[in-house]
Order: sequence, then C-alpha cells, then structure tokens
Amino acid sequence: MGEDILGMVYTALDESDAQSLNGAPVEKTPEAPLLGSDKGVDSLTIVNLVVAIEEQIQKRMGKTVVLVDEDSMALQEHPFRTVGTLAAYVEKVIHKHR
Amino acid sequence: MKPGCTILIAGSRQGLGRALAEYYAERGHNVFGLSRRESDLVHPRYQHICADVTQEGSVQEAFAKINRATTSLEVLIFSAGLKATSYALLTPQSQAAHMLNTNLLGAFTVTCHAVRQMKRNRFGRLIYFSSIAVPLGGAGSVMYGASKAGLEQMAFAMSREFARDNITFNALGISIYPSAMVEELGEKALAETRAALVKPEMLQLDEVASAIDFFASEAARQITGQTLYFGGVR
Repeated sequence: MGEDILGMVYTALDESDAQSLNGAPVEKTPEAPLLGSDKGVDSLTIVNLVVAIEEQIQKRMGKTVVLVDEDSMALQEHPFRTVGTLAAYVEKVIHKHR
Repeated sequence: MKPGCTILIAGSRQGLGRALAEYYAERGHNVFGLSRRESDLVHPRYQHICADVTQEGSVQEAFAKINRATTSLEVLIFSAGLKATSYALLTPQSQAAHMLNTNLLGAFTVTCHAVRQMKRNRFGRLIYFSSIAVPLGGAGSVMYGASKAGLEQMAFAMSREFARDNITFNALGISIYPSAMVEELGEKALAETRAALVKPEMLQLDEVASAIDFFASEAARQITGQTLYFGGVR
C-alpha cells in the first residue's frame, strides 16, 4: 500500500477526530481498530471519516469518488475493520477510478 | 434565505420545480437543476444537468459536475416526483416500484450526494416536497402517499444523523399547485381534494417560496425533521 494513501487516511482521521465530540482519537497505525470492535469507533465517526477521505481524494487527485457503494458492502472483509484495511480499500477505489 | 445562495433543485424541468428554479435565479441565487431531460429555462444563473434520480451512476455523474462547478452547495429542493392516481388493485407492481424509486429512493440518492458537500461546509438546508396525500390518505393515492410519507420519515431520521453539522431536513406538504399533476387529477378528484381542505385555494409560487425561504434560513437552524402542510390539514 502506498505511504501517501495511508497518510491521506491519517489526515482524514485528524479531521474526523476534530469533529468528534466524544471518544479518544483513533491511533494512527494500520492496526488501529475502527468498526466491529469494542475498542473501535462509533458509526457517526465512520461517516465523518468517509466524507473526510472523499474530500482528501478530491483535493489531492481531483477525483470525485464514493467510498461506500454496492461493491464495498459486498466485500467479505469489511473495509472499515481497521485503519489499514480502510487504507487498502481506498487504494482499490482510487485504482478503479484511474 | 441569504443572498447569493447555491441551490440545487431536483426535478426542475417542469411544474413547481421549474417555477422555483426561475424564481431563485431571478433573485440572484445560483441555481443548479436536475431532470432526466433538457430544460427550456435559460438564465445566466441557472445551470441544468440531465440526470435520472433513480440511477445512482447518473446521480454520481451529475454531482461530479456540480462539485467541479461549486464547493458551496447550500440548499437542496427535492421536487422530483411522479403522481399517478390509481386504485391499489389497478396498480401494476412495476408502476408502484417506479413511483417509490423516483419519489423516495431518488430523494435518498440525491440527498446522500448533496450532504457530502454540506457536511464539509457545516451548513445545509434540505427541503422535500411532500403532499397533503399523507394526512388525507385519499383513495387512489396509495403508493403516492406512501412514497411521500416515506420522504417525511427520511427527513426526520436524516435530521438526527446530521444534527451536529448544521444541516436540516424538512418537508413541505404541498396542497394544490397549478401544474400538470393537478390537470391529470381530473375535475371530480380535484373537487374532492378541495372539499377536504381547510384552505382549498390554489397555491401561489411566492407562498411556497416563502416557506422554503424560512426553512433555508440560517435562523431556522433548530427547525429540522418537520413537515409543514399547506391547506390547513395535518
């Protein structure tokens, strides 16, 4: 996975953390849990994160993408399990839009 | 509504949507319009985009254009909708599904794209056209009324999801506005609808616009998840 994709997700994490009224900031490591774990974040934080990542992609690459669609929901491994799985998924989405 | 707003009207080719597109462009707002076919409205502050709200890909392409043109979408008026007077047992399933797809699912799809920009900007006003068919529940409006009731519930639930982003979702229950939809009703059905209303007069454009202006104002930040009915019903 490209460092820049992970860096972009970290930037988006900063933005979504800034919007969050409660809860500790998400750790900036690929292993940090997101959804589906007791140590993860709530669904509204994921909403903020999705919007922040889409905005980063728009800013950095000039592409309008939608992260959550039929394909993402059909995946066996949920893309929002950890920061790392999310970054890998973002990379796939960007590749699909090339 | 504050001056120079950026407004998107879904269903802007005819009827109330078309009239509102012209009304707001004339008043100095920047208006984007969506409909399946081209519009005859030509105005320096109006930009028409052909899109089918029942098709996610089509809506996505439309928003790619909108996002390139502006980063400050502030108001969505969802006026796109089908009306067919049809008794339940005379309504083919395909017709019922098409109505739900346009009136409800179409609104959901457009909303999900519109709120992305609004969330970033921490401001958004979404206004849906519901109908007096919801409280009146008239015969022949089963799926139309159901789609509009769904729209009201969608606005209510969305308002909770985006409460912290200064984005509000409200609906206007339109009574009788002179349009092709009303012409299709027929004289008898129109007379019955009028008889059920406390205020049975035809709606004027500025009456609808004044309600939109209220919902779209900064001062209405705490009014969300509501439906305001014309005609004196509830």
